Amino acid sequence: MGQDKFELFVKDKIGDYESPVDGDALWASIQTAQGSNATTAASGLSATSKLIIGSVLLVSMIATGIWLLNNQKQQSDSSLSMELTEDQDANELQEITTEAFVTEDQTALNEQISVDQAKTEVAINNNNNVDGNFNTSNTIPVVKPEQSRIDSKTAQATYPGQVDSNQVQTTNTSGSETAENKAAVQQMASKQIVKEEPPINEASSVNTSDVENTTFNSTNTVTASNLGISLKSNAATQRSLVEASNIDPIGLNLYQQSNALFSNNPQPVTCPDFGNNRGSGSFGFELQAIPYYSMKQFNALDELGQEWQETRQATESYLESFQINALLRYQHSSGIYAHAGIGYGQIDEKVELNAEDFSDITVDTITIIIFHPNGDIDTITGPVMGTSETELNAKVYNYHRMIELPFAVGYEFPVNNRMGIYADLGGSLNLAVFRNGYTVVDQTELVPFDSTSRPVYKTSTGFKIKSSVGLRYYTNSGITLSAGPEIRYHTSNWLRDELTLEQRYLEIGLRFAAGFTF
Amino acid sequence: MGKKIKQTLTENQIIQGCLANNPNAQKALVKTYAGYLYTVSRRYMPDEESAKDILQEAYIKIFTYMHQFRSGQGKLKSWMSRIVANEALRRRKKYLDYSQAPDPEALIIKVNPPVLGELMEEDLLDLIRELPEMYKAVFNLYILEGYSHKEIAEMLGITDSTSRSNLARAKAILRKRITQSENETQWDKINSNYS
Repeated sequence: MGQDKFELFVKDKIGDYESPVDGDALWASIQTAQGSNATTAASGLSATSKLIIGSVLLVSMIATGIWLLNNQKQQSDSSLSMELTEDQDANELQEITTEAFVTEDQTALNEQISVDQAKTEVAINNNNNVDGNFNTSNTIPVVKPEQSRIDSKTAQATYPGQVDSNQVQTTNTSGSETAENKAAVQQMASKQIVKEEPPINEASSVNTSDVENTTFNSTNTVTASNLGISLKSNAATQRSLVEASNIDPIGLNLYQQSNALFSNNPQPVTCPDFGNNRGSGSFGFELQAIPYYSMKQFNALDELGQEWQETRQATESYLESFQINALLRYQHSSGIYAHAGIGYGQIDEKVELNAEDFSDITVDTITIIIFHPNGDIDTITGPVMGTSETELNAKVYNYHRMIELPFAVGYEFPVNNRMGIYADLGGSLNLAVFRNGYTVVDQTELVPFDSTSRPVYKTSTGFKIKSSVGLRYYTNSGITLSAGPEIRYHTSNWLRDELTLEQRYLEIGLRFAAGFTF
Repeated sequence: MGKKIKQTLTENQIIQGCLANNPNAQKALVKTYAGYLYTVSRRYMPDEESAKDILQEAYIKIFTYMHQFRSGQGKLKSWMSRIVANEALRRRKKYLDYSQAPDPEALIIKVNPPVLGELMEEDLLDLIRELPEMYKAVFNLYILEGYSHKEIAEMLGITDSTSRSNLARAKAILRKRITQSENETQWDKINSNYS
């Protein structure tokens, strides 16, 4: 029978042969598989979607919440600024003397304690920091409600040197002045200089404006409290003042009394939290560079996979890897922050194949040598079986280049006004991967990554989870610098599903970042 | 009480139904071609279980890519057959190097040669399945699936000449195994049918 006939025979025999199979059972298994595939796809999609949508929602919610808070604060702040401006324009606070108070109280108090508000320079910067510098010769310190908070760190940052210009000076006292009052005032005068931390906040400024409309009903008594005076000094000074003059403990009941005085505006004013001079929330841009070490992790699903794993472990070695991220960042003064953006990553590896390939060969060579008595030599040649040894040496460089969508949510613990410790947790979703290189298969064969007949890698590296802790430093210019270790794990298998080997990466790196706030 | 009418769908109706993801059409497609496609799968896979797995996976792909089938491009049966073959080859590909010579052990006959007069489809199928992988793939693809050597070379990552060589060896081995049967003379009867 010829070759064609044989082919025809085979084709005719089994070309259309139908093997016995249970169609219903097959259909049931297909339905199950379709269901599981759909479920897997759905859950996979759901997981991915959840990560993305969740992150976006989280960032949006945080941003919205913080924006609302900011908005409220800004409204409050702007109203405060308005009041300040109006007050200053009216110049009605620029000369508020105790004489006026005393006159109104029918008290002949000759002492004039002028509040030289004109010399009060109040500046509100964009971060809601109030930069106050009181040159108060013959002036009294400005009222400061209890709610007012001044971050000493901020103060130090804003005012590198303590300003000691707040002075309380009294020239004289009238006879109608009560002994208590006199003692108080004299005590204050004797102190001459009361150290006052220079920065004030809007709340305290508001109270100064409220003084304008205040009706003083004190009965021949002028005390620091009913003048709306707040002396923020060190504890020793305060104690000495209290002991010497029976002035109400400064900063304790003052606010309530101030409210009584400032009846036109009894509502407490919320002071914005200046944080560490970073604002209450802001968007910014951050550029991250992360050199890292990649540890390839295999998981063999059967013996063949195990063999392949051993081959690859013996032939592949790590070279270097890094990631660069460009991120939009939102930071709240509470410390919570979130960022998301676009990233580029690369893993470089080397493949070195040094193997020996043996194959059986047959060569014709001398098999018998006949030495004749007369000295002649005859040789007989014939086929000899042998082994051909081929040495395989190859060195190739592989790379995996990835475009990713990184995102994270974190918290920053303030260390001081310049520095914070951050910790964040997030992920990175692969958008595209570009590969070039070879994989050793069957111990001796190098298969290119782009092989269509024997593809090894998936077209996506999937998802990886990542976490980092580190230090963030805030410069005067608004630029932030940060550095810290980062750990990442590729949760997705890089190899195609039909293969019995799984490949993932555990990566440890050092994240360096620089950013600025819009 | 309703009366169930068993309706036989035509191939075109099945295709249209599958395109619309109609479960009834899909089931009809499975039941109609399961036996044939199972044979295709068995020709490549070493055991029945893996052959069924391949068949299942292939059917899912058939449903997924049914829109790519155009009736003008050939028979639905052939198109599905190629999907099954490709699926089977894809599964086997990782472990095999079709360019390498077969393991000598693979050349040892593990199936008792049937008596030619009683050579049934299952016997021939078993003999084909016993072929070394690199020969079997080329044999199946060329003779039974109708691929050219060039296409086979591309699919298996081998050269044209290797494909031809493997086909020749496959046929030689298969013929030798068949003729090792007790009554070689019966070949003549078979031959006469194809002369």
